Amino acid sequence: MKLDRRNFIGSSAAIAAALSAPTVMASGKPRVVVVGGGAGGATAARYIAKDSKGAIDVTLVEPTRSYYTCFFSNLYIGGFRTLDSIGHSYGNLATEYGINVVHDWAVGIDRGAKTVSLAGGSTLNYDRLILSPGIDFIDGSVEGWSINAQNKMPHAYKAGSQTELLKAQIEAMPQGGVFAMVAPPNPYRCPPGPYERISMTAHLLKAKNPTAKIIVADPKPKFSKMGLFQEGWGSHYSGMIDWIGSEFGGGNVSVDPDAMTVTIDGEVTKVDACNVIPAMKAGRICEIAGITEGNWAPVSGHTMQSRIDENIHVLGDASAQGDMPKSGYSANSQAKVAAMAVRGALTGSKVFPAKFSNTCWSLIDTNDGVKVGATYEATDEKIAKIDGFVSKTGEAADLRKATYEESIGWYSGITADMFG
Amino acid sequence: MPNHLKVIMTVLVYWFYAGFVHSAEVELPAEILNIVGDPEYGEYLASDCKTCHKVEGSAPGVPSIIGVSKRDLIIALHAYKQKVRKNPVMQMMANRLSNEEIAALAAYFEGLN
Repeated sequence: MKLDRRNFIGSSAAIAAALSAPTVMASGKPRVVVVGGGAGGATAARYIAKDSKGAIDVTLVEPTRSYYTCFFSNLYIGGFRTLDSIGHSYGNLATEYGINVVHDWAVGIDRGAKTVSLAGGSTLNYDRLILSPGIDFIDGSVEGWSINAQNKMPHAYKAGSQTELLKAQIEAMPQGGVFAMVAPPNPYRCPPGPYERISMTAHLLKAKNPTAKIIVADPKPKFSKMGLFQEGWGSHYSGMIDWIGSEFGGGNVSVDPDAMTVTIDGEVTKVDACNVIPAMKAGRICEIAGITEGNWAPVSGHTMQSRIDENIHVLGDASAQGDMPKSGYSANSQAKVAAMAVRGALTGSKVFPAKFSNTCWSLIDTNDGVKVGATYEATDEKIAKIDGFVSKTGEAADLRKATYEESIGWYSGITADMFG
Repeated sequence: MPNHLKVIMTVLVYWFYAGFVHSAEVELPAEILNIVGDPEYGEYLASDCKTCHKVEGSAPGVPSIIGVSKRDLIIALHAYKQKVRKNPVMQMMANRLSNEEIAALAAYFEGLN
């Protein structure tokens, strides 16, 4: 029988081939498009390009030309790091790994045609798509605040100019002035982040404006590493910080950026600087792609594949990632699992069982660092925690110093891992 | 004790100890120390390590693990697994590794030297 296309597709040989062989391209190499060049996307792009040894074409779509890490941006606020030291170029990814770095916004995904539309007008084709767009804010989640007000009351929760702005506003506060933070509800990017920020703000104010006050309106009854932060605030910044949790009305908040007031449970307070951290959802491209359920993109932990479209993987903050927190470390960890799965699907390379880990370091004051971490495995239901640890209150000073120094080593390592 | 018995005793004692690693940290039987690891699996497992332990150069606060001998790496990871070494991040990382996975990692890193 002449083996024409109709016969072949219906035959068991074709079915067997489709199940066992790597995807066969009509022409050229398999193509991966990565949207988002942060801890998830940059890592995934680098690992796929590096480990496929040129067998896969990788395109990375990232609007910023310099990436300022959100992690360690609080240390810049506190004066422990310069802004430049937390900025990274995409040059190595382009020159050393052959990645097609496209500085543009992805504004559309056609899952049927497997294309990504860019704001500049071009279209990219993909065989596998990795979305790692981070977070976007939920409109109206903080009464009185919108993106129009982000210059008066910065969120500084996407690092860069917003972080510079917030630091400048803190430094410009009058003596004895008031700094307010509106903290976000769960789940959000970087669980200890707001509280490290409070610590770093207090550190800055203690030196230059010791009678200044900090108030935190928090919709949550407790927060990550709470005992450690409160111990540290008591010993380093006694009397400066007033944390108002949900039990005390911290969730009943509105702000007036023009009048520079914050109203907490009916009580109006004039503020001199205010950091509003709104509620979050997956970066909007995930919603546009049609792969979100509620605010986040559900994934299979085994491969980080979207549960809605097997040709799309979602990494980092945007994903509904089970027990893992939304952190840069998590995104980097998930990226490696996804990179391995994508290479396996496109080139037939070996795929091992997914393993994940996370560690979050927070700096409370000079040489006073704390950490929390865990290891995880993929189950069919979710990414599940296996084991974990957290710093203890009352730890010796040299241990806290070593913990801080460890975080410096980690930062150097993870940024090399992301950007080459 | 007659000389020939002393010789036999010496040989037996040596033979007994030759199967163990004498280190200040952990004692590992030869069958664990000598597991042949899969360097390809080690490469995947090592991607977790590379977040903190840079492959090129090192940074303060995190020791370099490039150039560490296979034997020393196996002993170190078992020392964390047995909580002889104290760093909680490393105890957690080592605790989730089987003996075969530790061998795989050691095989991979040895291949980098």
